[in-house]
Amino acid sequence: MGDLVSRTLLKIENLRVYYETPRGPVKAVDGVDLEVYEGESFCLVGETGCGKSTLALAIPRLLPPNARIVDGSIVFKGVDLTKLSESQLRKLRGREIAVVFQNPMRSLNPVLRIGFQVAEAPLTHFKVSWREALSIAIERLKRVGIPDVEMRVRDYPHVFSGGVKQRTMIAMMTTCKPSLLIADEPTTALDVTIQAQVLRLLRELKDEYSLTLILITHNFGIVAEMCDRVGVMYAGKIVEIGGVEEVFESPLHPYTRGLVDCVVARRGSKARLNQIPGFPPSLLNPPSGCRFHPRCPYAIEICRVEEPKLIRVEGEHYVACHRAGELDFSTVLADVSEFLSR
Amino acid sequence: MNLARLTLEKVRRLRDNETLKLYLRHKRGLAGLAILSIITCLALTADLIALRGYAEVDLSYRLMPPSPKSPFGTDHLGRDVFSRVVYGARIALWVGLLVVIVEACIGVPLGLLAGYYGGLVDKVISAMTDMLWAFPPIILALAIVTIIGPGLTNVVVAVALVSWAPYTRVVRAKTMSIMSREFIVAARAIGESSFSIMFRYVLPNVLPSIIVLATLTIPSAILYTTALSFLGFGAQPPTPDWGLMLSEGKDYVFNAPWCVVFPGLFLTLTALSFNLVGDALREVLDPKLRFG
Repeated sequence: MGDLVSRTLLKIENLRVYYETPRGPVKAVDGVDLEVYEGESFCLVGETGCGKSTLALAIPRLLPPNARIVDGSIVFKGVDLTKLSESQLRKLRGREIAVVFQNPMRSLNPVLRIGFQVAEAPLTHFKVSWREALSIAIERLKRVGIPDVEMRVRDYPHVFSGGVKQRTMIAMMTTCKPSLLIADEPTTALDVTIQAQVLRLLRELKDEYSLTLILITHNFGIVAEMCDRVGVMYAGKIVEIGGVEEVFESPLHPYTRGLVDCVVARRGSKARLNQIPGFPPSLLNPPSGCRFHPRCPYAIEICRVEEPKLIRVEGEHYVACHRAGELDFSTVLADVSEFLSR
Repeated sequence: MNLARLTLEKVRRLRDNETLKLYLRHKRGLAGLAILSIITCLALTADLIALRGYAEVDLSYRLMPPSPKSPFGTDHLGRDVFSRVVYGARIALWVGLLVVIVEACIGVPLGLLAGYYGGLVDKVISAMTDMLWAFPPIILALAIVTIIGPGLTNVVVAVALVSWAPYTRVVRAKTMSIMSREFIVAARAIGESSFSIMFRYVLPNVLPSIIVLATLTIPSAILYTTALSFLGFGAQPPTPDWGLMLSEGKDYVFNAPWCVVFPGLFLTLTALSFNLVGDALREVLDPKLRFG
């Protein structure tokens, strides 16, 4: 265990991020504990609106103005990011922590030339001249596989396709070789054919620059392909964390099991899609006790009243469920292992 | 890459420039640009085409109607109206440009600050602009000129001081909408400073609106300064300012109408041409009108 602690790059404790709205605070992230180890790929999965993007943006404190970190700490390399000033954070952003956003079409400044935008990061963080910064930019753009870079750096983003824009974005974010790269659904806005290329690029860069990757997605295929460990979020909380295979092969939380079930069912073409009944709860006024209890087929009395803690089941597998261990999901196991082996 | 290829590239880009193409198809815009070019040419070549000096008095040749010798006639001091109008174009254009530059220098940074920081900064700046908005500009400008004294430069300062509010408004609103765009978060994610985001990410995106606003405020800037000159607060004789010419010529409007007709006509044409160009630019630069 001591070995693991020394390798911890990011440690989030009891993090609460609320959005101020006229109807009251929206509790997008409500008491999250999370550790990310150096050099690993960690995946956050969950439905739209479960708070996974908010959690990701909270790490470099890039939240919109109406969001507030109410409680908790985010310790990165021994420094609590929640206590840093804006100018101290600025030195970390892009240099130590970088973020690749979901939509590359909107993440590049439409009126600045590509070369300029990619050169900005080294220009900000290193003591280099404009010319040197540009040559770093060109080198990185070549690395992410953009053809004809010398000509392309003079172009504006609108002439690029989505895939090339996302590559540019990745180049821009990795120019300073940060130690933590947060990718917020980096492939959601791209064509399926391009998705695989971008993911491969991310994996290559991760090895090359020895990055730690936090990947946010709702695609279980990507999780299985890319990640070492996975955290499942539901309604602002992490309900299950563990190694990818453990979580997929023996999901302990009914919600994870439901998610896995949905994906697996897709294979049988004629069969009706499996679904989790009901809707994700409003984060304005989340349900009492376990947040999943209104939709959970296994809910018992205690689930309505008491909030389950994230407890360790075995090894690195944690779950927040009162009935963990007593439930048997073995019916889906065969399908899952088949799914994973594809 | 050699120079010839670079130039060729530039020409190609210009030819493919959508905005330019659209502008060239805009009839009213082209008309405005034509009038404006003529007036600008007159202003630039005033020293060559003026028949006499603008202050050259010839009392034996007073209030003469237009003739080949003096195409726009002469005024009450025998000065050639054509020469004065041509030199006046210089003043009008220069003053218009200067006012707009000063206005933009005040209004744009304030708008950026208000839109970027929001909150208290925004409240204070917005209150200032609203207060300014509440005054009739010409009255306020008169008050300022009364304090700092008459003269063309002072009038420029006064007019700029009372009419920067539209810039702040437009830039603030635009900045706010741009701040919510994802590339601003991306810029913050690579560690850009607030200053850098304001001036290198937001400002270039607001620039089209500023250009349109500038072309649309130049005519009012010219009209305000002319009005102040007309009232005697601006340019002092013998400066060939159009406002001053109107004021001097108004006593002879019935027996020598050319003294006021020509400066007035050029004033109108200048204002009109800027408005035409401004409207055309707005339509050409606005993506909604472009594709809608």
